[in-house]
Amino acid sequence: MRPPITDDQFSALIEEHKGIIYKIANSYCRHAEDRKDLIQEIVVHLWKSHGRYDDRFKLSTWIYRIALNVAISAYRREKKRSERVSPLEEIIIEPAAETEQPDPKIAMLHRIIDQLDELNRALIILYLDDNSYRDIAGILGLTETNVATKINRLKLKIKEQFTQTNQE
Amino acid sequence: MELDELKQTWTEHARKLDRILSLNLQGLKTAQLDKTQSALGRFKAFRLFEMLVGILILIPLGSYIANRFSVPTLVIPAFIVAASILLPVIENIRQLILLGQISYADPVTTIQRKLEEIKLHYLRSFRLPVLMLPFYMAYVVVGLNLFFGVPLDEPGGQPVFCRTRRLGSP
Repeated sequence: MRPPITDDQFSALIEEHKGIIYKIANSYCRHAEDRKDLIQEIVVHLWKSHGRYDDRFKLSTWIYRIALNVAISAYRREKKRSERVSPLEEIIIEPAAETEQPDPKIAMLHRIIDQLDELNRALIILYLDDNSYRDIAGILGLTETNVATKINRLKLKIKEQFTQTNQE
Repeated sequence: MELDELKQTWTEHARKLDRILSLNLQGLKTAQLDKTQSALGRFKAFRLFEMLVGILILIPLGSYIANRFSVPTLVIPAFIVAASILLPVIENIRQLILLGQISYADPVTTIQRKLEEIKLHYLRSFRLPVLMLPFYMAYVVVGLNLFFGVPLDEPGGQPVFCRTRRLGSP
């Protein structure tokens, strides 16, 4: 067991990895309210699991695993999380400004991600975040070969989708 | 466009996100992370509660069976009721063991497999009460006698409903 983490250390950890948490929450919850609750749930799990963090893994691997597990479980529950987490309305991570028009390529990417199942969604996020096949395999619990095969399939699928969209 | 081209766009977007995402420190502090119970925690608490209630019912039921062992017309319904409570209690214990093994820091596929297994056990615990529906009279007999003290026994040890049948018979 690791020594308990202080509030400041935990805040620093979340600050450093807020991008990962937000991207995962955003990929599994398109609705702002649900996303807010999901981020809160991920942060709660990170806080509670910190004592069991295994030094053998990278900190980002640990964060990815917890965030993806919480997000996939929440996604499968298909209920409003606001009733289950805590009655607090605190927004923990939020974009400072959303004034700019979203990048059409990013919007298209999100549409593609939305069409994938939970595991492939995790796979594509990890791939796009430039994780190595070895890291992706460790986070998801798959073999490296399996990861490579699945990513190749996803590449083909996405290419087909783009071709279809362009033809239309 | 291919996935690798999109990766470039995604990386740029991630850099931008890092700049614009702000951590609400006050929100983090007031979120009372220690006290906030996750969905899994609530599920666990509910399973524990169910298990304790089941055990609390099984104790008097066990004593009831022991005291009326010579009266099959009461012991058989009591056994049926006991089985219908004992099996969900066992399912609850299994679920609690599985829940104890869940650590969200484990690989995604491992955790999702365990969660599916728990869901299956949970659904199974509902199957038994449905299967027991044809035996609803057992619950009535044991429930009235054990929990409400309705005297179903006559001095000779025969339940009232048996005596009624005898009176009606030629």
